[in-house]
Amino acid sequence: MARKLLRVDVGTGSATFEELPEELVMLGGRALSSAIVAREVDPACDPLGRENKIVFSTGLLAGTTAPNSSRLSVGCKSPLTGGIKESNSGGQAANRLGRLEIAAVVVEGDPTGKKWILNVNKDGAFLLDGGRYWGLANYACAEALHKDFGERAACILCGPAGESGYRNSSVAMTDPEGRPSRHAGRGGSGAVMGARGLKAMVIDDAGVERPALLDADRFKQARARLVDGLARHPVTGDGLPHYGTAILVNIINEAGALPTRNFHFGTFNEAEAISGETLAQNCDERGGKHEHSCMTGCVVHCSNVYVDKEGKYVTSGLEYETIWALGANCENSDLDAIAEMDFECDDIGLDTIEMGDTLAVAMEGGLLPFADTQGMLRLLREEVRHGTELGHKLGNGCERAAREFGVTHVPTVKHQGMPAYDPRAIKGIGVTYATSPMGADHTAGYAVATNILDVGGHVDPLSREGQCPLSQGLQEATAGFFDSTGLCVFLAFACLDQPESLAAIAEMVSARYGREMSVNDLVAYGARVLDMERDFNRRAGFGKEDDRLPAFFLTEPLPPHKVVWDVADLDLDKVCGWTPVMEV
Amino acid sequence: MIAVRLFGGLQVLAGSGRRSYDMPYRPGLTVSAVLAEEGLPFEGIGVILVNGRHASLATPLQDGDRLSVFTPAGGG
Ligand code: SF4
Repeated sequence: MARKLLRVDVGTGSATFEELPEELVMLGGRALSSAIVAREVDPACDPLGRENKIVFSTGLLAGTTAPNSSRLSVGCKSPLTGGIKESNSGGQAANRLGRLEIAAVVVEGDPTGKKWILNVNKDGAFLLDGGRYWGLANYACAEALHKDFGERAACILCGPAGESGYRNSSVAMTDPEGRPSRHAGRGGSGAVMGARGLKAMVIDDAGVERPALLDADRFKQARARLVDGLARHPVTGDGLPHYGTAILVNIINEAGALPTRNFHFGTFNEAEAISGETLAQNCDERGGKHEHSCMTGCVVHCSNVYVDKEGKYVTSGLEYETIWALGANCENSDLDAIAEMDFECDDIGLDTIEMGDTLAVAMEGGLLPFADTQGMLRLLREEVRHGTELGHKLGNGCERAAREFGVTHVPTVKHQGMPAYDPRAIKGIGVTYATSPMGADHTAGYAVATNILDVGGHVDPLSREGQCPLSQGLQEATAGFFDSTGLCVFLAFACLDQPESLAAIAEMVSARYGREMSVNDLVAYGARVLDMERDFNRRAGFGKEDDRLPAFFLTEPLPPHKVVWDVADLDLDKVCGWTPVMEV
Repeated sequence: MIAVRLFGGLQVLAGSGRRSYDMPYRPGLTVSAVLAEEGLPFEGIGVILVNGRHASLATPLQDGDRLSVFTPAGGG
């Protein structure tokens, strides 16, 4: 059986399966969602209007036994950036969709006030009345859906933020325990789902076999090589399982690159209190969990379950980015309160990076003092959650909030808030922020690995030398090997040091489909995905001036290293493929 | 003085179990000498920073330096 496309029209209430056209057959994940958005969505359309579509696509290896292969890509024209968006997440949905051999679900049409849920199972796909779920926050909605459709069903949810049309709104996915703790967070896809009137997708794969492999033996051998490589590498075999991503708090802080107080400083004096070491200690002492998996089939287990002092569940998947955004960036050193805020964001359906950037500019604008932890919690619980006037000011992302509060020190690229690395002190990630078609995004080309973590060699983080080729190579490899296969990008930590693991991924793709894909093919494939996305952005009105960092990074030296952003514009233009204009 | 900071699982590996301490400076002191005095196995070591800049086991230390040592780590 070949992978198919599921087209859902929320205007007519129809859900129909289509064959994938030949040119899309070998596309998956980000490659497929971006290709569909680029073909079918008018780049000039209003992202919250009726012309926009939302695409959910599984990677090329989804539903197979490939490790960590259940990332789900969510694509649309972004209400936050105004450009193309692909944001991917763990959780169970991609595994279920992959087993059902669904390559993509395309949701389109004008719901004219109707509210839907989409149920997908072995018998087909059905749009059902979703009125009674509308208005529920993510945890309550997941619970209700599991009650109605069974515990095994995987859910994809639009939270209250998406229902309210917030430009910072995520698409939530349930984890193996059924909790909506994994999010395609960046770029406001939740609001596009909400604008389609689609509250949730519920996917049940009961009674379905795994997808057929064209060459099962070759697949099995390649899989074993990759799993072995992951176990042997000190980062994927030891560092990530033990401390999760929060281990980075102390490293990035010691390196002078932890954005603090709305990107004014590179170190946070109280970093230890919010570090991965403290998180792991709290988990051990209180009966929480580290080495948790966000999806079936993960062999790395970087996630966690965080509990309070009484041992009661607070949140799951408390990540470095979240801890930084709602912690150091707001000068908040209360890890328990950060965990509560993470729960609020997950339950409301907000991207934690964008929310932390937003609260930091609101603090700079005087809405509340920096370090006012209780004030932050109150804003989330009383204003943002309930869609009040102030909630809307805070729910539309960092840049719009900065305008509301009269702040000019705004860390965004293409209108998207910056993640947890100051680009002045980690210049490779600055190149990725500037040049990724997604806006300021760290996973798109994670140069921190080579600038700071000594994975894949070492390039001096404070120097501009070599940063553009580094970021470009990583962006192409990420788009090809990870975002489009559905593999978790954390496998890259091993693959950057192990060419044999990279080759194993290409072999699994080849063996699954019976079409040869080499390592070089997959890199070229990644480059084509980026070209396609940049072309969409050009048609949406983006120019080379949008592939830049905000001016303050060029003029304000960042303590402690006293560095400014100094990567040449021409070099950034080369990464983005802008043709240099000849001087006459 | 050298300000020594051990991160990740290093304090577990260190003989004294300390995470953060000051060590008297002496001429000729290198990163590896500091780690050896703490009984730390060199294989378990990831990134080494001296004053926030990347360094190696052989890097010589100056009076007043801050030495930060990590176990191999990743994230995002
Ligand atoms: S390594 Fe972490 S993010 Fe990746 S699949 Fe496993 S738990 Fe999820």
